Amino acid sequence: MTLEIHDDLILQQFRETATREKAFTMLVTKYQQRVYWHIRRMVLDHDDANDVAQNVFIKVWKGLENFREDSQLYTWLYRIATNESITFINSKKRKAAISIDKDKNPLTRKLKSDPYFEGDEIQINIQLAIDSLPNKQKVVFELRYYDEMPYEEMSRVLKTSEGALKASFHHAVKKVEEFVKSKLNQ
Amino acid sequence: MKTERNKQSLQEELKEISPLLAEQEKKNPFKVPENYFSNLSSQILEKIRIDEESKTQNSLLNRLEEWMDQIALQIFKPKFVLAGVVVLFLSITSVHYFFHPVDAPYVSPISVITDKQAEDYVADNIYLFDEEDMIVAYLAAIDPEELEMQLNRATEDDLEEYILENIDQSFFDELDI
Repeated sequence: MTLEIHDDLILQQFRETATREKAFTMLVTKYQQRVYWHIRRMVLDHDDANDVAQNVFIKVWKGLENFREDSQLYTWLYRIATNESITFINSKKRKAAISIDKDKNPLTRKLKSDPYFEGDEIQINIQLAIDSLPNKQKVVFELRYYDEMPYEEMSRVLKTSEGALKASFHHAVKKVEEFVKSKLNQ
Repeated sequence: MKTERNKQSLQEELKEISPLLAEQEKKNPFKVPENYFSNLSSQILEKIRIDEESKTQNSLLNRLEEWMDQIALQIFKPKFVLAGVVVLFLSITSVHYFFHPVDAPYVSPISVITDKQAEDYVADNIYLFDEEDMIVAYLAAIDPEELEMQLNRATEDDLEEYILENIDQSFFDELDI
């Protein structure tokens, strides 16, 4: 059993120049998996997730000194990770829109050939279904379904009311279900 | 405890919305390269160091640029420019007189111009001269008695014509007469 380092200690040590790097290493070690997997499920590809995750932690390094402790550190990290992922997805979509490569099922092909993806057919279909959701619904689905985040916390991360998040999750689940059903019936 | 309760509430919520998804085994289909998480923090710190070093280099370059700008500003201050021009002028004239010693007395170019040539020049280029300067020059050159005689010769019509041509109507309006 490992003892989890308290955020207050990380923040306190980060403010001291001599212990800044040590504190940052503690922060990355504590949150890297949660941040990475949240990003990875959004962007799907490991290399992309790695780039986005590194950018997120670089932004954390730059902004941590001015971090206001009225919100929790992980809430702030999730917010940065979500925004960075959405920015990345949008930029990738724009690039794909102007690309001459008009592959009809690029994601299916990519997931099947990805050495860091080991899902079966139904997992591929779930990923395709999630990928077809609008960005906000995608984030809500990821946070609720995979991270099992309570609506109260999600509301702080996404700055959206709990009612709106519940409705968003409901729509997202319905869409994913329909997508998977249609694929199973093919 | 809280996590367990949350898990249960999520499962119930899912069953209600989509029994199909609720039945699915929720597993992570993604993997990461070996030792990925062991090296991530050091990779990020390396990037941060490179970023900060390049920023320091840029700020050194900026400071050098500012320093050069300040030197340029000092050099091109008006008093230094004036001093430079004077030194340059003295140097050129010194060199000129050193190589072309003056034997003959200095003759002003103006003195070789005849009165007729001067009058013709003024007549041709009257637009170059200021009226007030010409009046001052005229008064300085003319004999006071001659001036008085000329004024006595001027008729009322001459004066009226002069006033109409040379004095603006607004001047009379301001006088209120």
